[in-house]
Amino acid sequence: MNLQNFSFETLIFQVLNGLAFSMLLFLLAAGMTLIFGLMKVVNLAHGTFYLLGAYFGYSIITLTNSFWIALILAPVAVGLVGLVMERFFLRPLYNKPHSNMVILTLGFAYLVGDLTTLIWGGDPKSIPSPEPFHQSVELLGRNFPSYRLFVAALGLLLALGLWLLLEKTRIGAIVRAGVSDKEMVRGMGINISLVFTSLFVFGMMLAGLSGVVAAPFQSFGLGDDLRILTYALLVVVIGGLGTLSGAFWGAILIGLVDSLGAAYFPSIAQFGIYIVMALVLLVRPTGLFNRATA
Amino acid sequence: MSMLEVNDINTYYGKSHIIQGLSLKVEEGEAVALLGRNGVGKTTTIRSIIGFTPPKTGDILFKGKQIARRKPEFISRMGMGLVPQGRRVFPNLTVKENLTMAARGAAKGGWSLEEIYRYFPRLKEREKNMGNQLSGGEQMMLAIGRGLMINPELLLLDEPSDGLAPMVLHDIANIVMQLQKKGLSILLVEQNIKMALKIASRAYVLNKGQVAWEGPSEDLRNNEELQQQLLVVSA
Repeated sequence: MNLQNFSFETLIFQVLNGLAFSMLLFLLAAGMTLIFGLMKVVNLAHGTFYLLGAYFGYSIITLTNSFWIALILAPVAVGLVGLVMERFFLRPLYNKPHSNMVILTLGFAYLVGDLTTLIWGGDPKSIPSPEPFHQSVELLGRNFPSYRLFVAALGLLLALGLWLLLEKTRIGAIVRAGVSDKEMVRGMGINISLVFTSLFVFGMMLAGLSGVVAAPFQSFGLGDDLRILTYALLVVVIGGLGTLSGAFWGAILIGLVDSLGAAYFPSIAQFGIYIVMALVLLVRPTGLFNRATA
Repeated sequence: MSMLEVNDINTYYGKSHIIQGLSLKVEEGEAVALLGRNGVGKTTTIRSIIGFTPPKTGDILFKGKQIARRKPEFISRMGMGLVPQGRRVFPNLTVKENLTMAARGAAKGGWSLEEIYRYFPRLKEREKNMGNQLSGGEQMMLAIGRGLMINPELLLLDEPSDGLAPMVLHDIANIVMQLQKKGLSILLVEQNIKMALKIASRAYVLNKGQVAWEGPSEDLRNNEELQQQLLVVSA
C-alpha cells in the first residue's frame, strides 16, 4: 500500500477523478444494459462505438474548431453507424441463436477498429479541453482540472434524464414492457422493431457521446475500444444485466475502485476491478440491482 | 360484412398441425363463444387471429380486409383488442402505465383512462401499484382495461375466468356483457361453459383443431348430451 503521500486533499481529488470516470462508464453501460434488457443483444462492439465517437469528435474539431459542435454531431454520426448495424446486420439475427449475434458484434468491433486505424492512423490522438473548462480550478488549495468536474456534472445530469425518460414517459414504459413481454407489446399495436432500432441507435449515440467527452481526458487510439469495453462489461455485470440503476451504481463502484486503486494500491490496481466483480457476484450472482424475478 | 371471418385456416407449431381447416364468424356487435376441452386449439385460434402464430394457409378477414399472416401490431391497430390467456399484465409497469402505454387516440370517441377507471374503480385505487402486485381479479380487470385502451371494435378474450374466485368471475362476466351491449364485438374462449353461454349468443365447439359443433348458445345449454360429448373431460 502506498500511503506516503496520503492526505485528505488527495483522497478528495481521487474520488472526484473516479466519479468523472464513473460517469463516462455510466454513459456506456446505460446503453449496453438497456439494449441487452430489451433486445437480448450483448453488443461487443459497444467500445468500438465509443472510440468512433472520439475519432469523429477529433475530425469535427479539426474541421470546425469547436468542441461543442463535435459534442453534438459526433454522437449523431455514431448513431447513424449504429442504425446501419441494427437494420442490416443485427435484424436478420433476432430469431437465431444468441451466439450468432455475439459473433457478429465481435466481428463489427474488429472490422470498425481496423477501419479507424486505416482512416485516422495508429498514433494516439488527443483533443484539448474546451473553453471554458480548459483551465484548472482551485480546490482545497490545489489545482483540479475543471473539465473533470464538468464531465461528472454532465454525467449526473444525463443519468437523471435517462431515469426520467425510462421511468416517467410513455416511451420508457414501452421499453420496459418490451423487456418483460415483447409479443404482448406487439399485440397492443406497437411496432417493436421500431422500438428496437430507436433504442439501439440511442445507445450508440450515448457511447459516441461518452467517447467525445472522454477524449480531452487522455489521448486515445488503437486498443482503447476493447479496453473500455471490458470496463463497460464489468459495470453491466456488476449492476445486473438490464437495469439502469445497476449500471449507475456499478459505474460509480468501478470508477472509484479504479481511481483509488491506482492511487493507493498501485501494485494490484490492474486487477482491483476484477476482484470487486468477483466479490459482488459471490454475494449477488445476478448483480447488485437485478430483481430475482421480473 | 362480418366483423371477423375465419376461413379454413391451418396453423402449426413446428410440425404439429394444431388448427386443421377451421372456420368461424363473428358478426358486428355479436358475442361468440369458442369452447372445447383442453388442447383442442382454442388459444391457437386466438393466436392465429391476432398474428402471434400466423396460419400457414387460409384467410382471416377483419372488417372485410385480409389479415392472415399480417404482423400483430398491424392487426391490433386495425382495431382488434386482446385479453390474452394468462392475462400477461406487464409486471414491471404500474397499473396506469399498463393502461396508457398503448393508448390510441379515440377515433370513435372510445375509451379513455377515465372511462376505464369508471368501469373498474378498483384499478383507479391501485393505479400506482406495479402489475405484479395485483390479485388475480385485479389483473383480469387490468388486462381487459388494457385491451380496451386501444379502442377495439373486436375484443378477443382468452379464458378470462381462469383462476378467478366465483365472486370476481360474476363481476367480470357482467362487465363483458356490458361491453357487448355497448356495441363491442367479442370472441370469447372459455373453459367455464356456464359463463360463456351466459355471455355469448352463439357458440363454436372445437375438437382436434376443427369445429365440431356450432349453433346458438341456447341449443348447447339445453343439450346435456352434447355438452358431455364435446366439453366434459371424461373421467
